[in-house]
Order: sequence, then structure tokens, then C-alpha cells
Amino acid sequence: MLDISPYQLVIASLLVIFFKQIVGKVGKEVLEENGWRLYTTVGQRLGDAKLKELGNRRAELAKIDRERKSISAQDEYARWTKLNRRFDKLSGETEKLAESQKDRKAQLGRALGVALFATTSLPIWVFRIWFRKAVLFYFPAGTLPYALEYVLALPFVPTGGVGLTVWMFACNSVISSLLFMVCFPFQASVPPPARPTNEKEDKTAPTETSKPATPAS
Amino acid sequence: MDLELEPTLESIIKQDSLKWIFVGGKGGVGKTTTSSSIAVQLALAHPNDKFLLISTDPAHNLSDAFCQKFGKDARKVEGLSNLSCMEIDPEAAMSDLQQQASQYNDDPNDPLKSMMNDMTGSIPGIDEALSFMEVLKHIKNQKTSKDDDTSDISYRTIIFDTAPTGHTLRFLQLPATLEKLLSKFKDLSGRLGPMLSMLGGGKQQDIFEKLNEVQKNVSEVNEQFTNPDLTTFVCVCISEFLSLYETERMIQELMSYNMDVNSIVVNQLLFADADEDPCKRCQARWNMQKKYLDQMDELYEDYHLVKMPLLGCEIRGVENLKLFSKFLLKPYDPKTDGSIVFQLEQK
Repeated sequence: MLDISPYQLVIASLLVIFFKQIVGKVGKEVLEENGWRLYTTVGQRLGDAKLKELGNRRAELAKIDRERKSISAQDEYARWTKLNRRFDKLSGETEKLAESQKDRKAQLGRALGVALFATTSLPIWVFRIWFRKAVLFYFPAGTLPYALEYVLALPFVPTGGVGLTVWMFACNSVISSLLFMVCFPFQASVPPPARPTNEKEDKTAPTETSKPATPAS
Repeated sequence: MDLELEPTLESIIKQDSLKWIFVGGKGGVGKTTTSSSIAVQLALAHPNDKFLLISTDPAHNLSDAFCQKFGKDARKVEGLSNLSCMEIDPEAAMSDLQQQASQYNDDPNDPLKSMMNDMTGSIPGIDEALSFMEVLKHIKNQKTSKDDDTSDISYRTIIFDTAPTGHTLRFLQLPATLEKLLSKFKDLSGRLGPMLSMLGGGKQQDIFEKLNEVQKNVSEVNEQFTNPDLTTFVCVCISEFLSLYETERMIQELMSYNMDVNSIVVNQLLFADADEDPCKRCQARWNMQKKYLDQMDELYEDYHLVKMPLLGCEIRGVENLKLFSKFLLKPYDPKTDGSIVFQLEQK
């Protein structure tokens, strides 16, 4: 059914793992937030009534707030209070509207989660199960000590070859190391550790390290 | 409805169906004077009916306003026999209730013993509701205890002089909260019932019953208070920025509870235009008050905006209250009524 040559398998799994690592690095929350922002702006452009209304309301609220702040409450009490009343009424309505959009946001989040799963974890596991016996490449006989070749062939490939499990493990560690090296210069600096003077400070000594987690698969 | 509402409380005094009148506002704006004045005017307008004025303010000053000592039980005002006053401390009513609860259940090891107290502390508005119910119970008790003249003692209208602190009427939002809470509890007791009964020996049923009762009472009271034919709220303020701001917020809050608010009493106005010997400071201050009055006219055009003068001394005693309170019905005119400012008899 799935007729993929070992060469394609090597490239495909490398790409999938690379994508998964990037997603893990960026973080699901950030993706969801940006996805929602994109969704709302695109939705407004496309003329989604609710989103458009929400956007208008927010803009109007900001306008009323600016106006309210620009006048003196004591000199123009009536106008100020009327603005207040409008603001309260409008913000109540906006809140309700935003609340009704929360479902959509959650739906979008779920859809995004499914999409990410379908493009990262799912193919990895399908590959690992379906092609568990596929040999990606061989070593010429006797290149490595027998024990090492035996380990590299685990779990299902004949000794002397390399299977998906080991290949994916290698990809994961290399890519995460590379990502770490790329990201490291942009990370917030950690204060240099100070020599602890008493026991109390010992506990508060900086333990933060900027080491990225290495995913298992 | 009239386009221009007359600036008096005549509609409140004349309205036949009103059972509850609340008078509220921030401290120091003349709530007690206003509520006493309304009560006096009601009593004068309907000499054949009985009226009750209740102060729920812990700092009681009804006694001072009428120059007569009042207490927890309704007592008639000297010189105005169809008006009674009482001063109730809601906090005391609350602790009475808690004591009562601990009387029923004096097992020191009972884990559910403190539950009632915790509950009363945790639901927003429930302590106000409970203390209010105590007040109402008090009124009811009074009716039954004096059985020699039962027909006589039912009051036509009860006027509340509310406390300036906190949200006196926050409990009006309580029924919804309680309903939610009770359904949750019922759910919980269905699941954990066996365990709870092991712990408390079936006493949790009492708690649920009690809460149910509270909810029923609160919804009854709520129904009465949100009916504009039965209940109205009179806001009292002075013509200054902060007082107006607080009043506006109070009105918005009351409206969110569906309570009827259509009267605002503006107290302590100087009316310095017609003074014979002009005082510079009075006139400057009057100008400031006028500025806010104009703004109020614009903001509250569909309210009865009653303007009351600032007098030369404290308004105390029934006679003085009678003199002062007639301006609730007939707008104060500084030209013709100006003499009242220094006319009050000193006590």
C-alpha cells in the first residue's frame, strides 16, 4: 500500500522531524494565538458579520475612551457621564460578543491541534510502525564492530542495516542540537552564578539553564 | 409620562401602592434628614395610615433627627402619632442568626458545624440578604406580638434609611447566585450523600433546607423590591462632583437590579442669588453648585430632581422637620421662603 523507497523515507522522516522540532520550539500557544489573530483579520476582510461587529465595537470603545479622557470630568460633568454610560453599555455588549467568539477560538485551537498532530506525530508513528522492517541503508560488512552494528539495527532490522527507529533518534538529536545552537544567541542572558554565602542563598542560586528539551521520538 | 417632571416628591407621597421607600446615598449628604422628611410628609398627607421609618445604619441618628430615643422596637414619634421609628443594627441581627445556628448544633466535633458560617461568608450578598430578612422578620414579629391592636399596626409604607457603606441592596442579585449554588450542592449531595451522612449524621439536610428557605425568602423579597408599584428608591446627593459621581454609579447599579429609581434629592443648596447681604463665599459656592445642577438637569431629565436648601442650623425635631420637609412637595423659592434659613427653633 505505502510504497515508498528507503531513500524517500530517509528524507521524509527528516523533514517531518524538523517540522515537529520547529513547532515545539515556537510553542503551541503562540501558534494558536497567531492563528486566531490571522483568522479574525482574514474573517473581517471576508465579511464575517460577527467578527466585523466585534472589531467595530472595539474601535468605538477605544474612541469613547479617548474622548472621555480628553475632557475634564468636573467641567463637563454631563457629557462625561453620558460617555461613561455609553462606555459601560458598549463594553458589556462587547464582552458578551467576545464571549460568544470564545467557542470559535477553541474550535480553531482544536483544528490547529489536529492539523499539527496529522502533520507531525501521526506520520512519525505510521512510519515507525509500517516501515519497522524497512532497511534505510547498509554498512559494508565489517565497517563497525559487530556489537555496535547489532545495536544500530535494533529493533527489527537485520544486523548491518539501519532502521527508522535509529534514524529518527539521530535526526532528533542533531536537529535539536542545531536549533539550540541557532537559538542560543537570542536568548535572555542568565546572571552568572554567585558564590553562595550562606545556606539561604544556596536555594535561590540560579538554576535556570537555557537547554532545550530533547523530544524522545 | 410628562415631558417635564415636576421637581418634587409629590408622586411618591401621593402614590397609593408604595410599600417600601429606600433612601440612600453617600455619608454626610443628608440621608437621615431626607428620609425623616419623607416620612413626616407621608404621615402628614395620610393621617389615617401608619408609617414606619427604619434606620439600618449602625451609626444611628434617627434619635438625633427626631430628638427622641428610639430602639430595636418601633416607637411612635411624639407629636406625629401615625409615624413610628426603629433603629436596627444589621450586624447584630446577623450574629444573632449565627448564634441561633450554633444552638441547634452544639457537637464540637461536627465537621459540618462551621459550614453554615462559611457559606454565609462566601456567597456575595448573602449576609446583606440575611440581615435584611432579620429586619423583615422583626417587622413581622412586631405585628403579631401586639395583638391588642393588630389591625392598627400594619404599616402602609415602610421607609428605609440605608447605611452609606457598601452595597446595601447587593442581595437583589442573590436569587440567581443561590439557585446556581443550590443546584450544584444538590448534585454534590447526590453523589457524596452517603459519605456526608456518615460525617454529619444527616445534618446536611438541614443546611440544604435552610438554604432553600433562604432562597425562597430572598426571591419573594426580590419580587417585591423590583416592582415599581411597591418599591422605589430615593437618591440623596449634594451638588458636588464626587457626590454626583457616586450617585450616578448607585443609580446604574440599582437599575442593573431592576429597581425603580426616579427621584434624586439634591441637598445643601445655597440659593445665594437673592441674599440681601451678599456673602462672597456663598455666592462663589452657589455658582459652583449651579454648574453641577445644570449638568444634572441635562443628565437626569426623566427624574424628579428635588432641590433642597441649606439651612442655618441642623434640622432636628418634628416641628423643624415639618417646616423643612414641605419643600419636598413645593419647590423651595429663595425669594418667598428665604426666611426659613434662620427661622428654625434651636434645640
